[in-house]
Amino acid sequence: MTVTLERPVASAPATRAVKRQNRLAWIARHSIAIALAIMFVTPVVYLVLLSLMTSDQALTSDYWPNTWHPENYLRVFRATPLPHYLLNTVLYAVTATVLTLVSSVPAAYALAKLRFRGRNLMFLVVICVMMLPPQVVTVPLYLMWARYGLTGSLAPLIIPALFGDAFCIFLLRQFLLTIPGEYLDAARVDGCGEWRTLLRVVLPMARPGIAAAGLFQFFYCWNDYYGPLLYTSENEQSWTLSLGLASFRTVHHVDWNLVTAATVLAMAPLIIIFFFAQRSFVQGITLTGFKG
Amino acid sequence: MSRARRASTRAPLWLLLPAAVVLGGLFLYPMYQLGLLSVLDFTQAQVSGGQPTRFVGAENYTRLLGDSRFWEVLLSTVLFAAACVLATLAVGAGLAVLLTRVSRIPRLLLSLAAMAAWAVPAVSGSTTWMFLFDTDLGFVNQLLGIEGFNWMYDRYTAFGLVGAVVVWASFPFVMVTLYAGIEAVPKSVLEAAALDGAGAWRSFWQIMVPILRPVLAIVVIQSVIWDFKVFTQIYIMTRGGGLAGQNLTLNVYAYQQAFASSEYGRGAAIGVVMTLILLAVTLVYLRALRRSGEQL
Repeated sequence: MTVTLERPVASAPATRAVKRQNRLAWIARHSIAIALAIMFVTPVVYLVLLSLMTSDQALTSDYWPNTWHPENYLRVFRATPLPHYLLNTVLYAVTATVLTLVSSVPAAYALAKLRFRGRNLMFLVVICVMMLPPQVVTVPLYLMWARYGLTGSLAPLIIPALFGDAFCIFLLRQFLLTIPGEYLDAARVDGCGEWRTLLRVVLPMARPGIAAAGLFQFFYCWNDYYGPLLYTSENEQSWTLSLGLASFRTVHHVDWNLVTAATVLAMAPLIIIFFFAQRSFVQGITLTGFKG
Repeated sequence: MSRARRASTRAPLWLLLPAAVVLGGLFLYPMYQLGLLSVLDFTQAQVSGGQPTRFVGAENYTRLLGDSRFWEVLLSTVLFAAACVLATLAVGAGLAVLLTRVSRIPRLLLSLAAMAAWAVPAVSGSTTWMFLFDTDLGFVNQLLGIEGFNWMYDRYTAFGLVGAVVVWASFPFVMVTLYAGIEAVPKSVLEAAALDGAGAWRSFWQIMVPILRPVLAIVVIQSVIWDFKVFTQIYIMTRGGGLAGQNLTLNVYAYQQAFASSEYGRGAAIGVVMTLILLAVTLVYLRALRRSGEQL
């Protein structure tokens, strides 16, 4: 496993002591790892177990279902507007992610690979915007959307994605910095304009970075609670999953089994996507780190 | 050649257009509006046009800065976020190192558990932890034999619990990223160092950390951004700021001031103050990065 070097000949008892110590350390490491894994996953398992109970049992302190009720998962679809929330969430997350990528990639490319006046200033502004919590500019934005009568719809959440996202631009720029300039020069020598260079040369090479940025954005939108709370809480037709789940706690507070079933359903897609996309995600981030 | 040069001077404008519009339209313009609102008496009555807007000068600011509640909230925001960042980085880095040193099955289990924690939406995560720490029915209280203990009554246990949820949700990013980074460090470098007699500690600080520095920079930036923006967990777990607002942070406070009580002018003043604080933090951080030779 780790670096094994031929040790100079040591006395036998000393070697045995070292071996013993190594074995103990090995056991300690592995037990810590397994204990932590169990600890981290407990909330999720607990949630799944609760969702399979009767609503009476869910109100007790039991954590193992007496009888199993997978039909809770069907009931939650009929008893609550869950499908509707799901649809809104997918609409928000997918369109916002696509639009963000389309608008952020060119900006990131310009910031990473082109020289022009004001580039550093612009990058500084991107970093500052990235640091600001959304709460800062909400008041004027909210009043603006209210003036256009768009509060209560998903529009105030989706339209801004047309204009890129600061973190996305930052991440993509860091990634694009790793692409050697020679490739771009070669494309230019071959007569490609900036757009052709971007589409034909940069995009294919930047795929892991784009995947990582897209996943970040998708996760952010899927989980976003503040945005929907602010803009759509007045109109239940536009609620997303996060808003709906938060309201379940008060509306359906007796049917904890249904609440937890809905919660499991809300996070299942993310876990599945994550499972498959994990590799390219991590690749995107770490490659970003190893710029030349 | 001349054609290429012309293209490369003109193209950036087109490529930057989306970003320029967002920065102008969705940041600079709101910032301007924010500043404007913060010197007005602007409540629901003005939004509906029932009353004319009134210029109040610095009144919103003097009221805000003279309010001891604001300073209290500011302090707890900074302390809470700093604690979350440190805990996230410590847990994430510790586990990343642990991952490199265990065999395949525990590594897989730990990664999967972390993935699950990462993928749980903030709203669901908060709710689940509330189930687990429920006063009477919660698994944790049963386990500890303290049924009837409400974690949310006390300011510090409440912050601690919310912080635990924040860390639980954000350490996996740090762990996975650093683990991938460590794995990517060429083994030959480490072997060479060991041959030269460098111990584990020394090779960690003098080889791993410098090689991993760009990855670390991203991880730190990301954690700081996330943890200063925490809204969902606090809003949901403490039901909007805890008993008598004991668990308010600036984000929740700003939201409540502006929207729960429709005091838009006051909310705008909080926004301006938050912006100034975060800009100062950002600039200090960027300077520190530049001084340490990091080329961002």
